[in-house]
Amino acid sequence: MRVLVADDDPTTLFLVRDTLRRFGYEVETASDGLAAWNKLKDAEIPIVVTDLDMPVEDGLTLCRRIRAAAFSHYTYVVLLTQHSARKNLLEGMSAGADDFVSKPLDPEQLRVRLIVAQRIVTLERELRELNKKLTTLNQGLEVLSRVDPLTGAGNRNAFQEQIELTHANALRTGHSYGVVVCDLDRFKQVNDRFGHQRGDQVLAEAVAEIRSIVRTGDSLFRYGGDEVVLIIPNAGLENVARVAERICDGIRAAAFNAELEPSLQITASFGVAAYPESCGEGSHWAELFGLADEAMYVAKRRGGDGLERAPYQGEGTDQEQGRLAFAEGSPPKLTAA
Amino acid sequence: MSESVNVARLREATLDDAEFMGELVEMFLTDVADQLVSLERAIASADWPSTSRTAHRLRGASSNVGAEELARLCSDLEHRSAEAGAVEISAGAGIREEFERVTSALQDCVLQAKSEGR
Repeated sequence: MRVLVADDDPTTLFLVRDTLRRFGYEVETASDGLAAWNKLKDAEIPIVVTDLDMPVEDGLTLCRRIRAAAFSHYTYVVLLTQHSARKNLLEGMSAGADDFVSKPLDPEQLRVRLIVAQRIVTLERELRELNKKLTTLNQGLEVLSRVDPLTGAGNRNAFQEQIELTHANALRTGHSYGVVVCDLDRFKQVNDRFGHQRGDQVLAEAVAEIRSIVRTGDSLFRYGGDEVVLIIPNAGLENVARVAERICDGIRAAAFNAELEPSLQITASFGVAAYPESCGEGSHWAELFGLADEAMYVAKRRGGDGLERAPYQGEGTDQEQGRLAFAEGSPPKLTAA
Repeated sequence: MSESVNVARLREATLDDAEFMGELVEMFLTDVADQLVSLERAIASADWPSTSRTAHRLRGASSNVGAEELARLCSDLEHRSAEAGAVEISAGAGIREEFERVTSALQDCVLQAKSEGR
């Protein structure tokens, strides 16, 4: 283990250095506080043995510099003190030293203090490595908790976070934004006829198709089942409808499960809504989302492969009213079509 | 001779290793010879802060090799000069004389240790 020894007296420096070398430490030396600091900031040296009274910069300044530094590792500091200088000891420990050894030097005292230093430094190092692993794992979990594993799109949690953010942003800046709810037509039949594996593949391919059409600033989520939601910032209702049309065309034209027999043709239904055009100023994002969802069902009832703008003002949608359940402050719950 | 250097302490400090002891003594004698010149110069020019600093260093170095009497003399000078009582300082106060005694005592110690084959 590496140790830096700082003392302005060459005899002490020599004595401490050679004693520590004999105890198996790798020793660097410095003859004043500033020289010691320059060595510490350029290399990871976990243990420092320092005199208090040194020219240029003293040991107290060195202690304070070490404690104020944003090193990634802990630096264990042992003071070398004269028996008579007790008041300096309190000052030194307060400035950040961990331990002290009295002069004249007793090699056994130095040896035992360094055993403690080594133990603390090793524990700290192990803790730091564990912490690093934990942070990496947590970051991975954080990503996993927001991504739908099948399609790579954001999941329901991510959708809620993103729409809250986008909505707050729209309220602050006065910009509009849009939501597209997309549901594959007769998807249940794909699952029933060709099995869930092919159904899953169709879903993944549909999301990939949508992703290839939307802009980078737009965000895509798998809300549940075969329902995909798109959030489009800085767009009005007609802009949003054009995006939905392009996606509708793209899905209709694509061959799904292209490498399998038979490959499939799929269409999708879209409900589009924009804040504030669809729901009015000051409404909750859940209201906007509910309207988009409702419009999607209208498009679906019409036979699919098309879109509807929210709010839908057509012929009596009363039969659908009970389908959407809102709870105050929480996202709407959808039931399957 | 034995009063000038605490031989047991010197052996302990150098882990009872004759070679280590030889190197430490050599380092000490070279350094202290220089420091003594500085000390005498500081005293001659009545530079008491410098006298105090140099005496402090000499005390630390002396105590490391077990030169307890020399360390005591230096400590004494350090404190008296720090109080800036210029008139009270009786110059080097026997420090050089003690250093001569320490020098030969240390050299004897090293020779002794080497002959014992430590």
